[in-house]
Amino acid sequence: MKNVLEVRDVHLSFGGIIALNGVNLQLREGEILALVGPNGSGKTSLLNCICGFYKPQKGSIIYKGKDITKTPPHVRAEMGIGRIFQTPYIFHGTVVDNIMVGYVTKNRNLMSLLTSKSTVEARELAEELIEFVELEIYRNSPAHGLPMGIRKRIELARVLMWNPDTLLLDEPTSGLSIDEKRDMARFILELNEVHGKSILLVEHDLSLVHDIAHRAVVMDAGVEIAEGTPEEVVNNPEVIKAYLGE
Amino acid sequence: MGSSRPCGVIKESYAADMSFFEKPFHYWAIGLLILILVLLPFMAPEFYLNAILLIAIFGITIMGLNLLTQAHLFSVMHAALMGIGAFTTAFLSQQLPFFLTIPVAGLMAAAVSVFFGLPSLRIKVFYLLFSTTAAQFIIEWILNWITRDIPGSAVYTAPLGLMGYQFGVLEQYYLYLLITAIMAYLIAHIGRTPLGKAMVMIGEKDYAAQIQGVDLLKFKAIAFAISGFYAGVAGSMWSYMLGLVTPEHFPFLMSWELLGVGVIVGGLGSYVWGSILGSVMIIVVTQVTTELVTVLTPYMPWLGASAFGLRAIFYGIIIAAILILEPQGLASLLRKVKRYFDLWPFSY
Repeated sequence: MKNVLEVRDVHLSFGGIIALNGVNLQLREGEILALVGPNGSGKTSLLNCICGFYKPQKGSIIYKGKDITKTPPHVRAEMGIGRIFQTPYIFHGTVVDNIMVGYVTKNRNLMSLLTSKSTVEARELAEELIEFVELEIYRNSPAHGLPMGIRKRIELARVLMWNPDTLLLDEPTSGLSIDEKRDMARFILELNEVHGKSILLVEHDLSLVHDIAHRAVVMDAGVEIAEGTPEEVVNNPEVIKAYLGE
Repeated sequence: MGSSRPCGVIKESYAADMSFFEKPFHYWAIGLLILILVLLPFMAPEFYLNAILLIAIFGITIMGLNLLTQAHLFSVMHAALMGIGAFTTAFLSQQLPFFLTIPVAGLMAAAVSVFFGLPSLRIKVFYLLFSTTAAQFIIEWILNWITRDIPGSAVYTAPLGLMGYQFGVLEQYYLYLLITAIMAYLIAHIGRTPLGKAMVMIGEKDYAAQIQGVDLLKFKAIAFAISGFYAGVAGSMWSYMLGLVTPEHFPFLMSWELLGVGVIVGGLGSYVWGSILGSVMIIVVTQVTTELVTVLTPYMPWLGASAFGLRAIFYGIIIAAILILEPQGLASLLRKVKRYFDLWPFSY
């Protein structure tokens, strides 16, 4: 399998605090790669560098063979990188309103965006995704006050509106109940197995990683400390040390 | 968590689900409003017609400003943008008919709005207020400079008419109602499109919107362009109504009034009804407070010339009272009324 995304020697620091210290990572086409590590190890910072939220001081990010290190975030999204956040960013409006925003990334023709036809098309797409993430009963509900699990699904549906090839999922199951986690895992698997999405998954739940990820990379203090199958990394002494100490 | 829609309303297509009017009584209500507005010239004196025209003019400006404010792009240069529209019309009205001068005035104001809105990519909220304040004064200065050789800086606008026929108050009234209806339809439509929804997301979480593919520069420029166009069209209409325009017609305080009273008191995010109600507030409250001061002044001779200052105090008290009672603006009140009738006869 060829690499769809490559992170090469990425360094990121905030003043004296080093968030990423020469991280290398490869996401292969059609795989689920889990990125695990203790809090503060740099997982979210790395995702932020990949989607363009942060600019690394050194190193490069290659997406489908192109260097996107200096590419603006919205262009990276247009190229096929979809990102969902640990805390979903939901604005005041209904579930449908929130999901329909994703259409502006799919259809970048301004005049077309202003037509009723596009609005209906966006709505139809939004409805397909509402069905995919099983939010039918919430479609016209104000999204802002909905539970975390529902809001995470809304954000996932919004990202899927423009059909990105690669998904960066930042702790998609944090704050969810067992049932909600199971549902989210099912969506992720379907996206990967049926729709062929390559997925970089930041996750703390190692049992979930074990169940759905093909490979895992473990980070600690801004560096990669282990890589392999989920079984291999869980039994790696460096990983055990990072989580449990000496 | 239930749906926010009234029960018993069944939609069979997405287009129907996104329609402006959900129930038959909505059509009846809007039909009744149109009927009243159409028949008003035959029942009310000219003073009231002029008041309605002013409400329409300021309402149009506030519609555009409402969209801009929804994207958290706070602007206090909209009086000046109206000025751009008004002066463009005044200069062109001798050569071009109104159906050309009005859109040209809108486009001119849109271009100026985009130019002064570009810093919004880097600066936000209070900082943007300061930069648009600067824009207001720069535009005012430019208008003064352009008219420096004209006595009183007053530029005359040709009377509104078509092919040699000069419009009277009645024709102007119906024309302005038509333009307002078109502008209201367009802004409501924009609000329903994914582009309109992206504006809301930009307002609340611009960094997240960017990560999810929204080009902030492009969308903010679009918001300023639309908003500027609305201000320019309104300025053009005002120019025809006044017959002559001077830079003093578009002061800084008017910009604040448009934002503070028009958008916030009217109802942020309610592009049509909130904006119209905000405009009603500006026109009606100004008139009422002026009348109030006129009535009260003879009883308070010790106030002398400073009695006129009472108008601003009354104005402020009324605005503050409305915001305390209805923090979401007057549009929220309207929504409650609509909700009551949506659920009637089982309202709670």
